[in-house]
Amino acid sequence: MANWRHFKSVSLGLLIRAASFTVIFALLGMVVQMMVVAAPIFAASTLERIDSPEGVRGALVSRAESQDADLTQSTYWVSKDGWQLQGSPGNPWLWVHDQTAVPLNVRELPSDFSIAQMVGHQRGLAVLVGNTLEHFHFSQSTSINNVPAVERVKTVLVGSDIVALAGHPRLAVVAFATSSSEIQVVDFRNPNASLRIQVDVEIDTIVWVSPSLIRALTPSGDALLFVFRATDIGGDWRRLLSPIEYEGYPSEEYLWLPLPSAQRAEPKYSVVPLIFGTLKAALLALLFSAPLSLGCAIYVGCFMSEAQRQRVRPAIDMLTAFPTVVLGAIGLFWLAPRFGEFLSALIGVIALFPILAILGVFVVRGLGWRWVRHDALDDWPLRLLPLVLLVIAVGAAAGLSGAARLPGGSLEAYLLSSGVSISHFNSLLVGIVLGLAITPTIFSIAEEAIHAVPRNLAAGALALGSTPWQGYRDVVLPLALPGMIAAIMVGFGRAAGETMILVMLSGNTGIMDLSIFEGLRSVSASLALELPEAPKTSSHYQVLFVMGLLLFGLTFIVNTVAEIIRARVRMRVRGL
Amino acid sequence: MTRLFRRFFVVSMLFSASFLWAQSDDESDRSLIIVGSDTLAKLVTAWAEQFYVLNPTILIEVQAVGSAATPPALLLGTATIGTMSRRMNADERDAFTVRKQRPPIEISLAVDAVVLIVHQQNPLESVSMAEVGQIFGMPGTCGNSVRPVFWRDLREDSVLADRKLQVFGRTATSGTYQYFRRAALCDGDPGIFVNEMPGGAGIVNTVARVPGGIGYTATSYTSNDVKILGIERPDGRVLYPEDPEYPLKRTLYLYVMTDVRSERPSIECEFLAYVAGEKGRDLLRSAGFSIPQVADSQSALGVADACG
Amino acid sequence: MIGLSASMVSTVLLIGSGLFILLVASAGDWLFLSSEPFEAGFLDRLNDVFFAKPNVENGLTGLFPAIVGTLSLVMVMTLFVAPLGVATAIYLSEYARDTWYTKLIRISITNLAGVPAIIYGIFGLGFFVYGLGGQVDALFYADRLPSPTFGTPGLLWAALTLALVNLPVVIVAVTEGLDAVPNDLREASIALGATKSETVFKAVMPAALPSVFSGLILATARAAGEVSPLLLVGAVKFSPSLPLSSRAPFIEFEQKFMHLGFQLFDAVLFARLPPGGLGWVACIALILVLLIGVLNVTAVSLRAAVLKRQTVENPF
Repeated sequence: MANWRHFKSVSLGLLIRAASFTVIFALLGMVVQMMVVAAPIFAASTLERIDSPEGVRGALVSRAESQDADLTQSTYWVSKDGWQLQGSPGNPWLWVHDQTAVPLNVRELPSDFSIAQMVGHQRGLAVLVGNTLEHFHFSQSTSINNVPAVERVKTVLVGSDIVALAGHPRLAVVAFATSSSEIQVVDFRNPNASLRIQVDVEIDTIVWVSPSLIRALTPSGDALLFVFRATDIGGDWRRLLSPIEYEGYPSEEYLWLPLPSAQRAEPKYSVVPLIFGTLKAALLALLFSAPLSLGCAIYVGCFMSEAQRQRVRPAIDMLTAFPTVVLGAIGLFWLAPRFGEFLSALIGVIALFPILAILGVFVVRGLGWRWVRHDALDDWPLRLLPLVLLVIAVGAAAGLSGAARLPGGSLEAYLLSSGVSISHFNSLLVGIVLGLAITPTIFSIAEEAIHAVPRNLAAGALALGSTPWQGYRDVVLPLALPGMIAAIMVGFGRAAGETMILVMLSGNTGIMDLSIFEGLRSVSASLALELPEAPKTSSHYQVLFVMGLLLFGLTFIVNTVAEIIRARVRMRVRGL
Repeated sequence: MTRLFRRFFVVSMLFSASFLWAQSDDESDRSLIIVGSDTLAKLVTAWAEQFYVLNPTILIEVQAVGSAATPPALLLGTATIGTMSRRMNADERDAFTVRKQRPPIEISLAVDAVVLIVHQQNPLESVSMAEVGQIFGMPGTCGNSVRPVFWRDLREDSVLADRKLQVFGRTATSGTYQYFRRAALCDGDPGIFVNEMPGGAGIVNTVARVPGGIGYTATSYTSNDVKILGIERPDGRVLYPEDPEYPLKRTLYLYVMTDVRSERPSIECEFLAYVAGEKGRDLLRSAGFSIPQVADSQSALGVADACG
Repeated sequence: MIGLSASMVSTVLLIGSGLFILLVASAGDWLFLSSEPFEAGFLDRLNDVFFAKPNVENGLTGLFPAIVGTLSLVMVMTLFVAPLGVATAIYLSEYARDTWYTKLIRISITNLAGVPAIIYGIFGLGFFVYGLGGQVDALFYADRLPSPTFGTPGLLWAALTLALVNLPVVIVAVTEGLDAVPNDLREASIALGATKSETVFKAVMPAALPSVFSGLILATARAAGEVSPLLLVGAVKFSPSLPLSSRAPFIEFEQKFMHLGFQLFDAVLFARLPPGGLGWVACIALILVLLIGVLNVTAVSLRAAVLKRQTVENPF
């Protein structure tokens, strides 16, 4: 019997130990899974010869046939916008005509080029000059008289004689065959990593059948198939983070335009605008949330009795009963439509709020009668409720009437006349609603930190004649400061990862604009909007996982640092 | 404490019992899972609701997230019927063909137009396609170099003069977005300044509230709260969605996962027959779509008739 | 300054009740006063709002499947999170000494609590749905392939994902409760010859039971309001058949379900709401808030009861 009991005890202990591992498993599993999914995006491009599969031959070959027509090595192209481009070997000019064939604009092309092909959805031109391949693109933004300018982007030296050249239908990539029977693929975005395969037959035509399939023809008409596997960033991680001079754009830009299932355009995956948006939203949220939640935390942590604290903490936590989807709906339906009025009222309230500090003194010191007792600090928040309501109402009314007195009659009109236009979905709105969502988090952690500081320290200060506020400000708060900073960090992490509010209120515009009246696009919202529909093996899906990892990394660092700070504070306070 | 536990237990048992009471007893393996375009969501959901009334024993799910979800869902079998506001592109078709050894069954379901909408009080009546490119595209799209930032840039006499154009569009995974990109933006890049909304109705709701707003959405979502813009042709005629030559008209498609032509009569066939029938057509018209004129093999009726 | 910070407490309380009043007023106005969408009486309207067939596109009717979906989701989630969370908490407060391993677990818990819910959604989609679900299908439902049974977003995976989201909540609450149990109880139990597990399960746990429940209820409250992972792992716009069955185990684990939070999201951004839509939105939001509020209050009062009991009953 004793053995059985012992056995039971040990086995239960083991089970419990095993269960505790779940936590670590969940965290590790998340990282590993995201890494596994995201890793292929960084894979280098590959080129591989395949036997044509029986089942798909018909479909693929027939499509290739239809494309042959416009992929002959002509020297005359029609760009997608109707500009006709003309150039001929031996003639050093690239002519740009309009639809009526009147030459409008000429750009110097290298003399004696031999072959030229459109690449990347006809946004660019690959030109072979001797042994160099040159990549031009038609830049419409720097056009002259609305005629696209032609600019050289990159020059790549190729080793041997090229007999056939074909431009990728979507990317700035060319495939060519050399006279020594070699098939090569050059990615202009990452030209050092050119791919080559030696074949044993002579090739005289080469065609992109699909973005991943190359078909090469021998003079006798036999077809060879090659699979070109490249992620949309061509194995170059810098395309996620660095400014890129995309084809068709005059300067280097950060753009998030994944263009899913667009076959003939280059997807653009810069994560920078999204990270910018995430940080902007989180910082704005802190701007609103930090003063409010820290103020609450200081009062509850410093001045309330234990019993009252046990009641007020859950009351403030009740804010979490508003799920973020509800807060988002409130923002969308009640705040956004009358944001101008809301903002003027809010400015009025914020401007009047410090008056409460002075009014509070009168209330305490009394105007002949006392509203609250100085020593019964427990009651203050409840007793002050009508006063605060009054100040908020007066502040809001003052804000509204002040706005009505502005030239133009409202805040929006006034801002408009001074050149600022408020977007319907703007960062400020996101910041306010998001700030509301993270207030209970910051409050809860900061209050704990403050409460952990022994009260007898403050009592000592009081005994030496300081006022309660002095006592807490100079003795307790400095000790609790690191904990309060940790609370703000955790709140920041929460705000950075919050999804529903951002999906609903941020406008999801991938712009990088510091103005608080413009929209933003966050990492979390992009994940929620795009991930469910991104094909599982696409570059888009993988880039979204990279962003998931970045977001995870951000919150991981913030939370770990916050936890370390909190642990230190706990140690230090315990010593007091 | 055990008393508390017992009470908790009883309450949760009552809870479960109340669920069981609410649950109908039909058990059925027949399920119809419809995934796809948000544009068609309203119509498909209406169909699904009616069809569910007619066949209360089946399991119906409707997911409307965007056209891009359809091909993978059909490929993986997570949907039995997929709807798309654009045609499957070659890659998606190839993937399906390779996996299932046959091309997907494609039905031209309905025709609708993408319309440009502005706030009711906006004096703007019509725009040209070139202006559409300027408003919604990145600078450079369609060969236009300047983006109108303020309304005065678009129309000098606009009463909205100094207000910014607030541009609303769909998210990148929506078929409407991709259609609009191809048809109105010369296949170029949509502007990053466009406010991306996950649903077409959201755009209408928002533009109705924003004086400086302009957006695009499918006709079926529009309401009297917004003004539909005409499109100016170079010859000066202004076209509205009712006109046959309206440039932003498109066909919406429905795809069936199983090969309904060869297999035994299936729930998909019943659904298609319902869709092609009188009630289905009524709902289609009342939802703001029109019925495409296509060959039998492409129409819902034709496919339903050809069922095994 | 004390007045200022006290006013901030009042402000936060005011904001909370203000939001609540806003929802109640809009929902009440629509339900009681306006007669636009329905001509029938108030009871009929309530009946329509809850029990009529869901009309997703125009909204305004049929919240019942979404309510049941939400409740089934949190109940299934509780089934998963309870054993894991409680066991981990027991390990941390009863078994483990302060080692690098427990430090690691503690750091993991705070980190798990800080990881955005959408990341859990990604994990759930990749690991549970496509990974585990795919395996389950290959082993047990091979005859139905390629149509996946479990390899697609559904109730089970949504519940598992939410269980992970809320694991830290449960662990922290239960650890708190266990730590509050006086050590004398453990010493007395050991002195009477009980084994470690008997001490934990028969002496300590009964004393900490209310905090276990309060932790679990807190977790369900949080789970009921968490929508972002559901966008990825299971909620759908329209699925009028409830995820329940009359056969054991009474819940259709693989089925997709409707959810209040998702319904709200959908109503706000996807539905072409007729007049009265605002009230309808407020109505969904209000039900969700009330559900979470009731769960929260229960959890808090349980915890308060524990504190009281310990101060009263503990003779030491």
